[in-house]
Amino acid sequence: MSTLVFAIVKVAFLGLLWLFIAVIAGVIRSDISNTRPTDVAVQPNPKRRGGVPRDVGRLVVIAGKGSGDAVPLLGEIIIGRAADATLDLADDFASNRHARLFSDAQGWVIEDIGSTNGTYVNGVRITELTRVDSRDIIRVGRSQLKLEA
Amino acid sequence: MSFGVLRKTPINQRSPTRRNTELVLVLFAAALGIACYLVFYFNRGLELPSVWPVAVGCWVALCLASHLLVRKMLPYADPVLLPCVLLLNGLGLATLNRLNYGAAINPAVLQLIYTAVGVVVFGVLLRLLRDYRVLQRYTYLLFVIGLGLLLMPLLPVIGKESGGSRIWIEVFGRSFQPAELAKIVLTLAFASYLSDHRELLRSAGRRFLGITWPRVRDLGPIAMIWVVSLVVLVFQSDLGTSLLFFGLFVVMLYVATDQVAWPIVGFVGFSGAAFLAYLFVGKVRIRVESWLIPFSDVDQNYQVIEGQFGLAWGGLTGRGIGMGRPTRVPLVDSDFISAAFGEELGMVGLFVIIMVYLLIVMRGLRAALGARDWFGKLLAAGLSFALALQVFAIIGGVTRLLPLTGLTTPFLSQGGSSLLANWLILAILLLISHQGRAPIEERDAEVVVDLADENTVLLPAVRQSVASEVSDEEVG
Repeated sequence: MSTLVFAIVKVAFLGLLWLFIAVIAGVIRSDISNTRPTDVAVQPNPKRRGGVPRDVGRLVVIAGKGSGDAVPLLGEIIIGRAADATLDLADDFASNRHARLFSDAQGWVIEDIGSTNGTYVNGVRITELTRVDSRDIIRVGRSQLKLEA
Repeated sequence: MSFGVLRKTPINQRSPTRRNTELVLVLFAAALGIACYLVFYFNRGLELPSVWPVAVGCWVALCLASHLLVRKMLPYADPVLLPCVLLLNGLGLATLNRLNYGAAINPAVLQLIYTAVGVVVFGVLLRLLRDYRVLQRYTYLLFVIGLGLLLMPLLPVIGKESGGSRIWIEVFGRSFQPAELAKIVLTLAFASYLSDHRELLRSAGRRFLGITWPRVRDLGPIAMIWVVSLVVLVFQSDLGTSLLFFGLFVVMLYVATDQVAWPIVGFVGFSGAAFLAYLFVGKVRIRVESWLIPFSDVDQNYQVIEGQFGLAWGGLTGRGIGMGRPTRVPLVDSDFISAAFGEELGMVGLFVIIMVYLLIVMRGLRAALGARDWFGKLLAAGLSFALALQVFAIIGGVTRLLPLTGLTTPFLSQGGSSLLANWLILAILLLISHQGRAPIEERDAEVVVDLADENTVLLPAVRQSVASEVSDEEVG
């Protein structure tokens, strides 16, 4: 076997290895242009429709005292024990003004507004603005809340 | 399917899963491993061994099995991670086969079996851990398991010393390095602890020298575990792994608190400790000498010198597979396998290996960015960084950029514990990337938890009037 054949095999193998890297780079590139932000909530945004929205969702208490209580998902919702809270929870472990739920162009966002026991989304205590949708379970005090379409 | 073409997807269409892309890449990676295996026999002018179709068949089956596991359980996972790992694993198997050609029992066979075990464990973990977030609850249990694993080699009967380090256990004639598994378990524990105490570590405490120093009660538990694990590793004289743990902890603290001062403090502390180790620990002094002045003592630094000659002999494009003499280097199967690649594939080939590691680390950090929870973020960032540091330390050591530390080269080196642990790391990274990339309606929702044992504080009611009204009603 001539040295030339060995050289060709050697270069071909190295070329294929680098081709693998190039293909991966291509996949990553198309991955970037294909990936839509997955954090976008599926909820329609009532504010954008103008007038009375057709299908407003609800914020429902699914566990804890007052289970079954609900408020329509409109504008800004203050969750807490205060009488003027939008969702008035009868929960000894909730602060008076516990959390704020509001919507932006992409969906609903929850924010803890200085509560004592914290606001949890899917069991994780939130420390910043957190996007929520109908798949997430929000815990405030000993109550669990859910968005419903 | 076309690579690199921007597809215009309507907004309500399902997110692409990229599983077919992954399949193509997996087959490509598998083929490169097979090519590496066969070219050796061609270059040497040798007869192919009679078992070659079996070996190739097993390998392809393993590649497809791992792909199918991902396709079935994590449809939205990153499409690049698995093919990269399979390329490394395949090249590692082929090179082990080549390095031990003529041996009665080729370690490559054993490594293929370990790969199969790795794929099985990978699948089991994906099955059991659909939602990795459940692990977040067991912070202290994970700490205890991690430390237990680290201490196992010091146990009298099963512990085993080899090559001056007491880091192995031997059960039923099989040796295992529990530190590899401890690395993962402690990363989980750190991620869980830090994601819970992130905000406190960042803000509660006094400022001094430009850092908000956390309070002892916030940092204390984790710092203690970390110091204990470092002491254990130093006691076992496993310097490479202690370096890895140190770097891992510092980086996770940095990611959690967002304070640049932590890596600086870590680096200064590490430099101080390294200097003291150089002064007082004989083994470290030898390692530094063989790094800076290897030719002063040929007998002592034989391994490093032979590795250097191998890399030099390989040059830019290498000798060709099977045409070099990498077996002159002691421990070329494990610590020095990158020297074998450098000799036979040259710098061009060794750079492919390093690029593939880089891609794995990059996609791991991408998974960390995409994760919606801090536990996942810290976990993916920690595991990716540990992989990067490990590759940097060992390939840096072999190429004499750094003093040599006895670490394995992930997925390439011979050794079951390392291979198994790295497949577990791959599984965790894929789990996190799947959770981050899946559209919301296909994510796993958290189950409703029982609130009875939650750590909550009873708040006094402010609405006294309302409360008294209620009690009046009850009385009335």
